[in-house]
Amino acid sequence: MSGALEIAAVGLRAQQRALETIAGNISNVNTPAFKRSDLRFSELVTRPIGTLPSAVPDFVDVVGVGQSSRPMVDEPGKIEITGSDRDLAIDGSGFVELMGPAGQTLLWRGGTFRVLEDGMLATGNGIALKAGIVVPADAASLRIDRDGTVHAVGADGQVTDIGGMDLVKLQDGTSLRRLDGGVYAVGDDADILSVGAGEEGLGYFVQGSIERSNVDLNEEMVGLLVAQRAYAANAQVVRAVDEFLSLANGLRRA
Amino acid sequence: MSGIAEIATVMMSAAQRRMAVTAANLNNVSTPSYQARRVYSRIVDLRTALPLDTVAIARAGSPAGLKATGNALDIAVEGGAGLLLREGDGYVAVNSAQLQRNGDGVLVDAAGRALQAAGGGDVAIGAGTPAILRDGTVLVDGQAVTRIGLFRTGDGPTVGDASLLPEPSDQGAIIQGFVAPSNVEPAEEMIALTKASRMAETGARVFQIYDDLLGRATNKLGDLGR
Repeated sequence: MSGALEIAAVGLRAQQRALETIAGNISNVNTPAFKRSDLRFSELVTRPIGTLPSAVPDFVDVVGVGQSSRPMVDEPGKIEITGSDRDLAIDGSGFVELMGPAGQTLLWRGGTFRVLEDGMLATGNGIALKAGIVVPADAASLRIDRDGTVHAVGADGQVTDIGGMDLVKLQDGTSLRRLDGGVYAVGDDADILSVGAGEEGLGYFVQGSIERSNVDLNEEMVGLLVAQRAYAANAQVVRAVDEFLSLANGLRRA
Repeated sequence: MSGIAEIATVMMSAAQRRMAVTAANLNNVSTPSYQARRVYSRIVDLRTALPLDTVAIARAGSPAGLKATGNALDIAVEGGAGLLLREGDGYVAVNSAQLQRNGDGVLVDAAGRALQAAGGGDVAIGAGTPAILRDGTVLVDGQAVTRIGLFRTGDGPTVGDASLLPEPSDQGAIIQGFVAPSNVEPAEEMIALTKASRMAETGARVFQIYDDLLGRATNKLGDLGR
């Protein structure tokens, strides 16, 4: 019926999704190791099919806006000391590789870990590390070195080396999908490179610390205002078109 | 008959076109490098009753000021040059882009359009955090990998044939970590919207008067025949 109405609807939807992304960021401002989602807008353009004559701006016809968001995993959060030996932060851009329930590869940015019933070292929500580190039942505490070597400290103070964690890096940062509990899924085509901690700028393990989220509330608030106003502006267009259509319908009088 | 009904039609469909363009502008209020479009009136073809309006960029040139984002892969151009993005077989010129790597390490924007290097070709940087110098040289781990192209793209977005690369430009500089915001002015768009609404109302009024006239004429003729 009216192109304007559809375009405005596209705008409303894009701004609503932007609001959802911002809401997700704000609600996770205190989630350890949370990476904010970054908003991306791009215009949707139609043009005739086939070879085009060059440099004629006339036929560039915008029909809407596209919106996407992706986790900004390269942006580090502040490392905060918690004193708990079950907290682990990564001071750098690397990930810890996890073994998902169905054998798929998952990535983790650190946080609070725990020991499963069978002794496997796992994330807070119970996904085991791919390194397959088994903590002996008589271990009183764990010590993790900067390079990822895990030591079990027995009740008698005896220290045993029980394995090591590697850090991995992604060749392609775009294929990350966020899951619950600070865990990320990677696409099947993702190119994961496993390297030791400290190499290629991947950083080190820091035990007894937690990485804060990288959400900047000021920035999110400004984004919230902009998205809200843009939403309202698109709603104005819907109203104007609606009035126009009612006017058109009123043209024919009995 | 008299063309009054046609004029009313033209006014109303022109108003609708203006609303669509305003809607598109308001959609893209947060799109980097977007330049507001405006409908410019031209001749009206009374035979087809179609408005021959053209849609064009309202204010060419980069909008005032760049916005800092801090993302290493956000780039903006300062000065009179443009970046090229390859979309299928054509090019789109922009003055800012929010890039990301695709699976092959090629820099693409959110819509999957590949950034073009100096002399043509996609910009592949592989892994690692890039440092982008003002002349477009991309350094990854201190090594120069490639150079982002700056082109003479004229005003506004041009879409060109892929075989015709625009001339390189020695003007302008690439600034890393910034985007050029869109130049859509919400106030201006609201005024354009109101103007379009009034234009539609005027068209409707013209048609109603014409309708009244016809009705009255028919009545009068009926009276005469009695």
